[in-house]
Amino acid sequence: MIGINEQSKDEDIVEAVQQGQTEFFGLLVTKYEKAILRYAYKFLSQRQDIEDLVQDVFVKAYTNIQSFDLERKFSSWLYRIAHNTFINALKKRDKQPLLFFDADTLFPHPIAKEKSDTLIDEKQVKAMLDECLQKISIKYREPLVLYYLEELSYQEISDIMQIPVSTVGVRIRRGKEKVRLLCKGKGYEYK
Amino acid sequence: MNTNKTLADKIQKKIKSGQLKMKTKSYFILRTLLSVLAIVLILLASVFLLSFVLFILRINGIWLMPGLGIRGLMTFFVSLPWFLIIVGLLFLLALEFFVKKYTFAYRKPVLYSVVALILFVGLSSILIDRTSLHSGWMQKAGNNELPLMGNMYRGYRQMREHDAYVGVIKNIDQNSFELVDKDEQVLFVNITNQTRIFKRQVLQEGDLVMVMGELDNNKIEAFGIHKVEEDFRINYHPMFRHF
Repeated sequence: MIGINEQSKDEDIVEAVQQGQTEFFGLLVTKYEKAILRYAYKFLSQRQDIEDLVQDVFVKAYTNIQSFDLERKFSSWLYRIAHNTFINALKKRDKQPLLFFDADTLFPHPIAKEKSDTLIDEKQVKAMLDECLQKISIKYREPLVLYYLEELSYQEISDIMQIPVSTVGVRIRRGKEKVRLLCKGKGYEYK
Repeated sequence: MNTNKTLADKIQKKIKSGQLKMKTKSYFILRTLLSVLAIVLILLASVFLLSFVLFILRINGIWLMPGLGIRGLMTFFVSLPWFLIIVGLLFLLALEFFVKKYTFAYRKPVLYSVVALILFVGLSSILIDRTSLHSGWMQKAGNNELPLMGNMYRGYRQMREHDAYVGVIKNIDQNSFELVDKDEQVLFVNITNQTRIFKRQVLQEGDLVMVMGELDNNKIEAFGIHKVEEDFRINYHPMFRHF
């Protein structure tokens, strides 16, 4: 494997690491640290151990890198590890039991169109998320963060959260509505 | 940017020092194989269990009960092997737990994978029930030739708590007949206005029937009578082959 550098495709870098060129793993850390850190801050709110958790995400990614299927997208796989790490941290802190099934995931829902917001709407939603995100439950907060702030597709969010694609659409729609109601008092008027 | 480098450096340092090691490919292959094996085993166990439930419903005549009115239906629910059904549901839950980790399952609503599993297990169980597997094993269990599961087969061989009796009609008149069971025991059956005869079948001497009612000193006050068809007796009901 030659010619691996910062511009290389993630999957090419992973392949090199899988084949023993472990020095390239740092490129992936550098590339994704900011995104995972941002995801953690939005997802977990105020915590002292966020940087440790992010480090934990990359440690797990390295440990399990041989399980990565090169046909898939590395970013989704990394976000999936981050999702599990953060959920476990939250469970530990709040001592919340893990729900095996969520009612949203049980039945089919019509799949909402992605990118149905206009540009102005999207900017409004992002601004509202910055202001009011911490007030809504994790269930809605996470897909909103992944969709509006991390700009991932429904399919990618479905793979990260391991929930049906249609449920992603439902949670984003409901989450947006909740944020709108919560932000009303702050002068936002997204419709 | 400085922070980025720091984390990358920290991790790289751990990798170089050997403090951080990646798990081998064979570890993940083995884990996947074990997971697939667990799914296959639970699937087989579910099919076996459900086909066994269908089998004991037949050999104990429980599945004929819903045709005998509300009382028959109630007796049917009471007589169902609930323990086996609950264990089967737990198997199904375990299956769903394993299956929903795979892309093809979690991308679609849970209902789809649950329905697919139920259909697969249900249809396979019906097919297995049509084979001689359970009747053969039941026979072996009766001869004490079936280790491990022998007790289970013997325990479910004759569930009498639901007051159902199978036998051949003898000496019939308008209000009563004699029922001769497979052990040649004679039971006297009373037919009253309250007796429900499935589909108003005409009963004749020599008919094989299932009678439902409380047994009191060899007398049964029948609340339901269901004729057992000849092909059913021969092909699908090992217990009735005795007649």
